[in-house]
Amino acid sequence: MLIALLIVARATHIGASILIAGTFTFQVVTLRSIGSCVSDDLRGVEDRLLRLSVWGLVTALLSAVLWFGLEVVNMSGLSFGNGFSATAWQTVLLETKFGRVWQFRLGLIALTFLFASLALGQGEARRRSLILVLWFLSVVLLVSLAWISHAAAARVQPIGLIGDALHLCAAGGWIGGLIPLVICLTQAPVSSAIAKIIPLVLGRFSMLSLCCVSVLIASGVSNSWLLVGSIHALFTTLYGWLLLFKLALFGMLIGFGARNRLAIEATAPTAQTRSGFLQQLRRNFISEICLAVAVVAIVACLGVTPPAGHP
Amino acid sequence: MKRTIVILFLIVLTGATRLEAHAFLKRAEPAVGSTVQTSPAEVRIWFTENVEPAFSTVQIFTADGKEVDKRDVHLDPSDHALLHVSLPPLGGGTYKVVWRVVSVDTHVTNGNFNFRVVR
Repeated sequence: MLIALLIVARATHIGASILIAGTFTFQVVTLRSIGSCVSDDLRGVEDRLLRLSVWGLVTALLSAVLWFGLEVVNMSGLSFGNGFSATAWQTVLLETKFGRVWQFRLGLIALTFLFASLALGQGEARRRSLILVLWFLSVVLLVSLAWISHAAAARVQPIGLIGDALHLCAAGGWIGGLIPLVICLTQAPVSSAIAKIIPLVLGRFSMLSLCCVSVLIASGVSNSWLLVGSIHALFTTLYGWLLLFKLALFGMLIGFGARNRLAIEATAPTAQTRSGFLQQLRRNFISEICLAVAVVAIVACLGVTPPAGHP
Repeated sequence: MKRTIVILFLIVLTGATRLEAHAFLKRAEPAVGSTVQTSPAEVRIWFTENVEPAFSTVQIFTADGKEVDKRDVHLDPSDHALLHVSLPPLGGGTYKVVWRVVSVDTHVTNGNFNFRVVR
């Protein structure tokens, strides 16, 4: 029961962190410099993305509290009821690496929430500056998950920590940007101003995804070498099987992404604004989002599973 | 396809919740299952990952279940994957070392082993 709840808490929190970083990365990288020449419709999209990030932060906060509570029970060995009646939660928060990282992350969530709420009511110039700050904070929030990962606990450092941090960053840039992209595509049929920028948005996101996939593959190989250790362990341990499942889902994700990229490249920019093309792309990206959710769930399972590299 | 992914995930989740505790002891002194000629001053256990001292315990029991260690489990200052616990002089007999550790990535593992003192 504890393990199952931990998996749910981890998956929710990691997913929310990826979404928050992905949303601001999308705004900074994919939508950059477009806003200055487009109508209020793009501001409307940006408002939606900011509200998405605010909800992501609320989800991150609630799941962080749940995860912390479950770790208190897990580490102390106390029952669910006794875990918070005793001093165990104080010991976890103040005397463990997990607790210290969690203090930092909770503070960062609060700060990011404050800036995101502030950005909602600002004019364009001030909002752009705030979004840059929010991008930085959200990336730090995502990357700080690496400090409590299996890779960071590995004996070979700093390869473990750096590899995991890069892996998280790349995941944020690619799969974290899928929902913001779908939001843009949803608005295109009802706004000619948004429809006009879609080819540029698709092209930039496609390039960003390509870079992120390369980083994911390289950092994934590094992490696998550290945590699995051998081909034998990959096929004979639970950790190895979970990793293989994750790789299979990742392969499917890349397949979908490649299909989308080819469809975009094969379609003239003027044709990319047509409703039928956009609807098909939107459906494809929603399928990618479903696969990405499954990948995050497997990552949560990997997080509670002893690495295969252990004797 | 979405239904297939959900079903596969539920299968994996079910499997993951049936994890058995793994022993991540790397080596120990006295060694696991060893016989020593003199009473050791302490038991040292090396683990595969750095551990959290706040929730890690090592206890030594006699054959009839009496705890004999000095209850001073502490982390080695230069190696955070090494735990020490001090012992008083031990008489001849078989002793059981019971350990429970929390690694820095929050995994809880536990195990036990015996060693024998021959005088």
